[in-house]
Amino acid sequence: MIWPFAKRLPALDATSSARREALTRQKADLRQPLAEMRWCVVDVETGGLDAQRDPLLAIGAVAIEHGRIALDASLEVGLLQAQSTAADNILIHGISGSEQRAGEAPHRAVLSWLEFAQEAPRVAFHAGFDQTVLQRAEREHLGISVSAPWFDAAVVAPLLFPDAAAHCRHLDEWLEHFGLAVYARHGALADAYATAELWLILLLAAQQEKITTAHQLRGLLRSRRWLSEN
Amino acid sequence: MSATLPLANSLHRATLDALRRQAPFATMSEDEVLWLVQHVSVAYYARDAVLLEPSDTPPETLFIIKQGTVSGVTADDQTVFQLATGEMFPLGALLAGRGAANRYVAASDTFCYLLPAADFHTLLSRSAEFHDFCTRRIASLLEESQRAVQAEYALALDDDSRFARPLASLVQRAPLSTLAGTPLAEALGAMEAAQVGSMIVINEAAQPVGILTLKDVLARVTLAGVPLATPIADVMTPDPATLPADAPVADALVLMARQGIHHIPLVRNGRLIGVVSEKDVFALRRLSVEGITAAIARSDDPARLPALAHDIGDLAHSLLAQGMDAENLTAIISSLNDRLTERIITLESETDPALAGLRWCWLALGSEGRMEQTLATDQDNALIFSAADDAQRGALQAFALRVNHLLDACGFPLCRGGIMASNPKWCLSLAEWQQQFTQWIDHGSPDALLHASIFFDFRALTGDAALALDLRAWLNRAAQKNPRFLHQMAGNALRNRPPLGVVRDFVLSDDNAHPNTIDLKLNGATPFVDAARIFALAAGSPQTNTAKRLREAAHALHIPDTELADWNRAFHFLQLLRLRHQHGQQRTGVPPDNHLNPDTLNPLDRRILKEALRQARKVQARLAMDYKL
Repeated sequence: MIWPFAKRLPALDATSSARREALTRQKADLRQPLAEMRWCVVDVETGGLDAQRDPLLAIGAVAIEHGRIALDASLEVGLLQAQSTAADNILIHGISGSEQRAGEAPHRAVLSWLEFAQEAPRVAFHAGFDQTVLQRAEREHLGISVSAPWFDAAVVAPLLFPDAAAHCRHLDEWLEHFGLAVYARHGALADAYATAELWLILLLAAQQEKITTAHQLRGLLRSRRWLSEN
Repeated sequence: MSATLPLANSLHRATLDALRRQAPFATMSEDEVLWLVQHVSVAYYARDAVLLEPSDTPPETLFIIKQGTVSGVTADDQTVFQLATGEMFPLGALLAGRGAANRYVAASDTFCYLLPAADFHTLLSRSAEFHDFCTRRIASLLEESQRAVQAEYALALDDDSRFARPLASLVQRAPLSTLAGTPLAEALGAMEAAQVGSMIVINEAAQPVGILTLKDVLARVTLAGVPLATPIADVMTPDPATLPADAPVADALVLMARQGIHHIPLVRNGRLIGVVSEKDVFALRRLSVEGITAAIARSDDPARLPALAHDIGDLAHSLLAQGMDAENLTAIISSLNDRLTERIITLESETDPALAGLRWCWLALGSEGRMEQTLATDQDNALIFSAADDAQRGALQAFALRVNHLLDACGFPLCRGGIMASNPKWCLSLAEWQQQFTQWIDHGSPDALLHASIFFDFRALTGDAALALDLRAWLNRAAQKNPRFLHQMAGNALRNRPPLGVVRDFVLSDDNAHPNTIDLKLNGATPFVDAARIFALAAGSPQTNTAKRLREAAHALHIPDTELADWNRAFHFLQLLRLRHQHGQQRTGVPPDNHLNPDTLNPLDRRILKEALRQARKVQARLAMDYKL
């Protein structure tokens, strides 16, 4: 579900404006079988660890469709940083223009992200951070608020593999536990892809635990949170 | 970089790089692999999950294992093979458009790349390398391995002092050289007159500045229509690679191999002093088949034969290093060993008056009988004679004993099982041999089957060959008349399963003497040898060589040529591995054997080994089908 956040939306060029209009307003059906669900696994790169302030630098995302990670349609987009375009900044940091991964204007990058994700439930490792950063960017650059369900692999994994949870906290530790190799750690797409492989394992384990829909999985997560908070 | 690449994101790139570490993706163009990457998806299978069921309809996807292990399981729950990272399935079913024959089960937690069947067929038509690999899987893997072996041997010349001598020692005449301005007519005339293949162009200080070889002349002068009045400098290869005259021969070998050149000018203080050609370097392999054959024929003193036996081993090593294939190499080793054995027999029989007037024939058995000797080979031989009284029989045994001991001195150890011509049990008349074979055929006991596998491969080595031929003709009739015996032999052969693993790639020996190894002879080559023997006996063929037996049988049994070619390639790869393994052992002073630890192989050879063992299973499957086992 997409809601206009501000009364006056930020002015966009005509193409971007049309893209914003065309964003799907469907709601994900969390009651379909887990195996059939389309998932969007995402990871963001930011300029720091403060989700409320630090700039969003890049978004990497892959889609899981019918239980398989589609390699073709994966998203890797960098956000053009206003300050880094200044020549003196480039001189200070020694990053040449060609090395700037920031390829796209922020509003176009966020549009690409929303078009890629569609209504699919989002999956991330420590999803709270990614969710905050992305929703902030959606608000700032497009003036909209998108309410899609988020699932946190960092919470689901210990639930399904309690034995491993004792020594696995970070993504790296879970990857090592399952023997998953990552091609370039800490790139947004590389981490999103690694999380997606982990998510495939978790989906299968969930089904073996008779959790057959995303709705059930969310219910389980909520009851666990209630148990741990009370 | 090609035009399509900017569209590739870091995930595509990384997947491309990972795939290109494996055959066949390593040799495919970047565009082709990228196309593949952009058409696959990634799926996860927990251990014991079924990836593909046997079916009547063609499979919908090609699986490429990204990580993990997948087992092929037959209808009766037998795991018949295992596939590891980088391997693809079900190739046969996809290519033939038929259903998969086996069930594919994840042997460990596994990730696979999935390519839809339609995209698989598109890739086949887009990429010649991919097509080649899928349709001639074992052949293309072998070619790749063969190139690697040659490169490895070209560099590993440390054990060979001949390649340590200075290049200058190879120079036999003054170099043919000329100045840059010399007209081609004059330069080519001088090459013709001197009968050499190259002309070095030098400057006034006698430093090489260019080279023109006969091969260059065809393309650059004749076909290009260059007038012969042109100065040689216009068509020469400028700045040729040179080596110092005191550099070791090995340097030239490596330089030639790396740059694909056949002539190297040698310099001292910058000045040209000679030229070495590829021919000079290879002529250094003083050991030649002809040379050793002649030396054996000339030798009148049995005491000198062990040295020649040693030369046979050296020659085998050198031919192995030059990349000779196992079929030819084992045939050469066997034929030189034949010559040596013949010479010993001749020397011992000519001087023995007790043998005068007797008709006898020395029989080569086992691997020698099949012309498939490797570097580690003990004696398997026997004697057949027409008729003899007790004294003559004793004389034949005494003669055979002398031959056995001389062979032992030449590096063919006495047979531990006593299968030697000096053993009274195996020094028999034609009638006695027929009796013995009849007994084996009729009994079919385990002992009889064991003996059959050695004795049925007999071949006349020297003496009166008619005796051996008569026995062979008789034996073929006897064996064909007794299908029960062939059936028993087939059953016995099938008990020896190629060691493809369920948990790991290979089933390793639990034998304490050779831990973590597989027996390349018993579990690798023998299934082929055993099956070929049964095919040959069933067809009444007098052939004893495994490859030839299989070729003859393939025709009679309507086995397709491609399948036959894969069988023979697989068999010879196993033989080649044995030879390389034994060569390595001999270089380090270890007595050669057949126990190989597959972990010591490079990933490519491991995969070919698996493929070869899989072919062994196919041969066995054929045998099982023919004999309803």
